[in-house]
Amino acid sequence: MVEAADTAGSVAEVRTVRPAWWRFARHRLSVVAAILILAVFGLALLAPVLPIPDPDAITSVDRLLPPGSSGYLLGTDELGRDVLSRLIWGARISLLAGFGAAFLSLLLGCAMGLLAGFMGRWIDNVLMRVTDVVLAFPTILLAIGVLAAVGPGLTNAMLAVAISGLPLYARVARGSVLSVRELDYVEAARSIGASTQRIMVRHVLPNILAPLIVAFTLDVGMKIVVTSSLSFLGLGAQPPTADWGSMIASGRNYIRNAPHLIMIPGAAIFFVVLCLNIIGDRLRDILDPRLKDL
Amino acid sequence: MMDTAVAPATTKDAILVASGLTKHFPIGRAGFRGPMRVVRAVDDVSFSVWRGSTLGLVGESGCGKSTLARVLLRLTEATAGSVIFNGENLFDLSRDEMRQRRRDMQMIFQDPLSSLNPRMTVGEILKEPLLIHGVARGEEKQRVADLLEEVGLGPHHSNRLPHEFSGGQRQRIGIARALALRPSLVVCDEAVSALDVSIQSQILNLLRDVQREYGLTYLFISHNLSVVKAVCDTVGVMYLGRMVEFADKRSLFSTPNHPYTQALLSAVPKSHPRATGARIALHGDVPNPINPPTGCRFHTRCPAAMPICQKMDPVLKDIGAGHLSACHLND
Repeated sequence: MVEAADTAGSVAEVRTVRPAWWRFARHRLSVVAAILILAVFGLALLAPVLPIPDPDAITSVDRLLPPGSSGYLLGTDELGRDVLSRLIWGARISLLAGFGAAFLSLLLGCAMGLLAGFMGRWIDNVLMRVTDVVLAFPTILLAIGVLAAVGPGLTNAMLAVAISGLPLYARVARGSVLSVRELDYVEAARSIGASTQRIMVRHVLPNILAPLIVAFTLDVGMKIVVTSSLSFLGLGAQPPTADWGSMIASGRNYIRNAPHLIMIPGAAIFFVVLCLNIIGDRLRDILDPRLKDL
Repeated sequence: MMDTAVAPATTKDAILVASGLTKHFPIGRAGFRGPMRVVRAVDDVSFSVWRGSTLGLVGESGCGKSTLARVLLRLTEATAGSVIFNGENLFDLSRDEMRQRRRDMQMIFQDPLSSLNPRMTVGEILKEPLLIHGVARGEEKQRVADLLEEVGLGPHHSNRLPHEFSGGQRQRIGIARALALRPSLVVCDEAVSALDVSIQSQILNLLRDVQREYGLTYLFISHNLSVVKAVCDTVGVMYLGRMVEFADKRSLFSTPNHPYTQALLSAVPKSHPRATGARIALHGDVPNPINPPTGCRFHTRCPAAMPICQKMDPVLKDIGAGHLSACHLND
């Protein structure tokens, strides 16, 4: 199928611009990172069908076994639950929370920044003062405050983290809008009679997306860390649900005799965030249309 | 062709009449509660553009040429004045009505790259005006191909992005976009200034060809007097937000009246190495438009300044055969 597409492409039209995936693939490290992220995604999605034990099944005789013990590849936790299984099931929660929260932030923040930057005047002032207020609170503190009001839980934690992430996107978007809206092609669009809405969606938005997508990929990692922190504090995913943050939280009491309980989920967070950052950097490079030949 | 456009005044049909156009940009207060300070970018400018002709606007950088163009097309709101376009005051129209009228008035920009959206293919760029105004519905693709051909490009270019073209080609795309809606007035804001001289002449020829074909009216803004001399029928000279001289091209270039125009013309490079003609060198800089000189705005640099020039602002008036000039020397 791939070959068919290839020949069809080369015969039907002469492309002068290499497709985005091709330019992405030129960079080995980002390919490795992307494969790793996809693998984590795959494992998380396939968790129900993988031959792994129930992540919540308690085996009290096999408590705190180190990695490599027979039957438990990554050992067991303080209740004798399989760490590998919990890690894979936890990936579902952590990735969902990270991507969900970041995506929500992106959507709302981008809309805010676009409106503020393009409309200016009082709309700009009101929206930016709101983001200033949000920005004045430390992320975790704001999230804790929101969760104190609406109650703990994974969905609420995502919402809380998304709100605290608004200023990042709103400001990045607004800054880009301010520079883009002065460009001649925006004026050209106005002079051919394009409506404000059309100018914002067709001309401004596509040209401010690159920094936002980079911010997004970097922010997903951040959001995974923050939602994990909230779970660590007991405000996110509720026990016994496996989540990387809560795994670290429950493992910290056994840091001396069973360090793998925090090292393994910690390493998982580290690698996922690292891979996302590598991908984010690469995306920034290829999303700039003036750097097509990289 | 250019020369025959000057018809007797009675048969002239004004496509656009600007009167008392003023644009002030507020720049904040002087001090804490002082008066609001403004940049007087365009100050009480009036003129007409005849249908089918080319009006050139010349002047130094910062004299308000581009602001004037943007105010005329209502891309910025004027502070005062009116623009009658095809018998209709543009400033009285609602935003939606204005958007409809834009079909008839288009603009060609100075920087051909920045005036094209880098993320849209040439086909999308040219299709957009058609889609917005519902023109050539269902046959947009054919129309785009025709437009590209018209400006010397091919249909195969429509899948490419602007950055893949050379400067001259980009400007051709800009011209194709301006022509897409078959406008009657096209404002060329320094349309060839960013191009090489050889490309300039190609683009000027293209502009002249499409003017002939569609009966376009051009408002041609430039700081390059040679270019203005080559393409315009009528020329307006601006200084510090004011129109100081407005005349038929021949009259203006052969008998410039205003001292500023004389100085500008004397600065045009001569094509003959031994051509004589004293160069009138102006001293000093253009005064600050926030605080323009009293009286005649040019008196601080004028070689022929008289005492009255500091006190009274000269008005633009006819000094014979439709040649308008704003100078006390004519009184």
